[in-house]
Amino acid sequence: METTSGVKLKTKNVAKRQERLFVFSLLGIPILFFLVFWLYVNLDSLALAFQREKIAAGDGKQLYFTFANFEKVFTQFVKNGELLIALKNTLLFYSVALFIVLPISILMAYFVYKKIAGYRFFRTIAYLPNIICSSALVVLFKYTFMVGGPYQAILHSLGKAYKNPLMTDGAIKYLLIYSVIFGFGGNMVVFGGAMNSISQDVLEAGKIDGCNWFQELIRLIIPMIWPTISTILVLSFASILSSTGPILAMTGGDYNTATLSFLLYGYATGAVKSISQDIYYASAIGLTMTAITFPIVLVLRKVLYREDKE
Amino acid sequence: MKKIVKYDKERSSVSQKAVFIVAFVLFALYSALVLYFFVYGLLIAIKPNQDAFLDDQMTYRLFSFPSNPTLKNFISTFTEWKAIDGENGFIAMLWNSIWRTTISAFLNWFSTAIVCYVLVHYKSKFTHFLYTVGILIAMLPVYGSQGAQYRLFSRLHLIDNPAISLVSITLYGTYFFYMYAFWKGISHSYAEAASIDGANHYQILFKVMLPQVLPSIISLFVMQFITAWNDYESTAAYMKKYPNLAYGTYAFSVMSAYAGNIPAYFAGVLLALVPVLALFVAFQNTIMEKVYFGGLKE
Repeated sequence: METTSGVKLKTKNVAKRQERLFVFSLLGIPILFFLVFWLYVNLDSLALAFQREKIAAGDGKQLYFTFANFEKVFTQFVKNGELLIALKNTLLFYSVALFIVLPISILMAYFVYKKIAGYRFFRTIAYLPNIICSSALVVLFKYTFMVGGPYQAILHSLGKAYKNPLMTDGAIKYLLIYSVIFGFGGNMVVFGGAMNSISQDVLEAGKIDGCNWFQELIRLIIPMIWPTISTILVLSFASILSSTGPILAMTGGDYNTATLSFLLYGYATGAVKSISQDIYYASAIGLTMTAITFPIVLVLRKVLYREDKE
Repeated sequence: MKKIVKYDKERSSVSQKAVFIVAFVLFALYSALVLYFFVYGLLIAIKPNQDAFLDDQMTYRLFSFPSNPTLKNFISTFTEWKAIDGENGFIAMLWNSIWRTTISAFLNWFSTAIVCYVLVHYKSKFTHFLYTVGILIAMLPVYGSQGAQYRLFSRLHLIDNPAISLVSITLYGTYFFYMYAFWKGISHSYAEAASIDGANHYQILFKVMLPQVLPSIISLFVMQFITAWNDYESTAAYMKKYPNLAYGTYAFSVMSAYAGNIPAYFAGVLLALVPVLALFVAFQNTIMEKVYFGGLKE
């Protein structure tokens, strides 16, 4: 005859087993996909970075171990090659996102939060570029500068000669302008959401103490939404380096407009006309980028979250 | 003393108003700038034909209201888009957009929702480990895997294969941290109460917990759907045989010698925006007000 505690233990064990089965049934497939399509892919990528192909006997190809991919990466960085240009462009995009788009997004989110006249309309318009296909936006943007478009019309009325600026070496400036014009919406919504979660009592107390709008924003709101800001800062560093932005549709990477992630995309997939597919070189570029950015992100995270703790 | 305080308050109120007026003007200018691009697209789309387009181009009048505007391009676009890749017309691309987007957005969203539910409500060393790995992956950039990914897709015959949509099943989906935050907002006491009433784990998830979080996480599905609808880069890399509307728009933009009807093409670009715009309008309050996260630390 089983004792009460024995029955309880058995019941507990059954419950535990059921719970484990449940957890496994829900996590099993996602974990499997993660192991195959993330972990394996990244490990394979590591191996690819040290490999090249050579023609073997018969029609086959043979892989061999080499540092040639890294030599090419190093040469491209040192000799002002495409990688160095791409690195400069990547840093330009990140700087613009950090020093222009981010602060303006916070300001915009603040005024929307304070329900400025027409705030719903403004919020929707600012978010519009986030929901519109970027290839469509790029087409509309490109046609502004094409023959017969508003840009040429303005130059013509000023009596100035026209040259499509997206087909010159200064094209990167226009890509940066594009990223600023259409870059506010996403952050604005996230910051707006964080501001909506702030206790009104704190802001009321600030008002009683005579805070003006700027003091309210700088001394009360920003410190209170700092966890969101710091998260965006860290995530945006990683995402700027991994997204190709409008480059593919705008210039196809021509006129010195490629970024590191764009080159990676081009070499890895062969989907860019001017770049021949080379998955080995792509992996070496990726590994180099990881090695450079890894410590930067660690420091960034440490600094930002220490600030957060304080 | 009271007078001084009152004067200070009035002055502050006036300067505050001035700041808000300036902000309003700047917002209005910015909105005009963003809307300009769509008005420009519309002005091209309502030009009668390619000849009218070329005439306006020669006289620098592309951004002008045509003398005899027409909406017929919004119909002819259904046939004109075939010129873009020679095989797929607007309807075929629309269909590809619908099925590819629905499947991939749902799988990514649903798997993330389920994973986050377990990580939040079934705490253990293992789930804590998974969450920590998720943070590490989000924070620490790992680049260059596209080459290996392409090779794997190739070996698994997933290139130009609809089954590639299954790869959207994920452990750490696009909106992992948002989803995690939403689940954290749902008290576990509901699950405990249901458990006492005899509900099993699946019943608790699907009948008690999911309905509570659904109004919030549906906004994430909408955002996921919009992102997938607009994705042309992965189509260019892996699914050229099943081009979506976003790819059609991109393919046109890089065609150097498109001899077709450009107004009809622009009509198609604007039509392609309608589904996501409609979706956004329907869910905009949910998206705008519920999407936030408060940092990644627990």
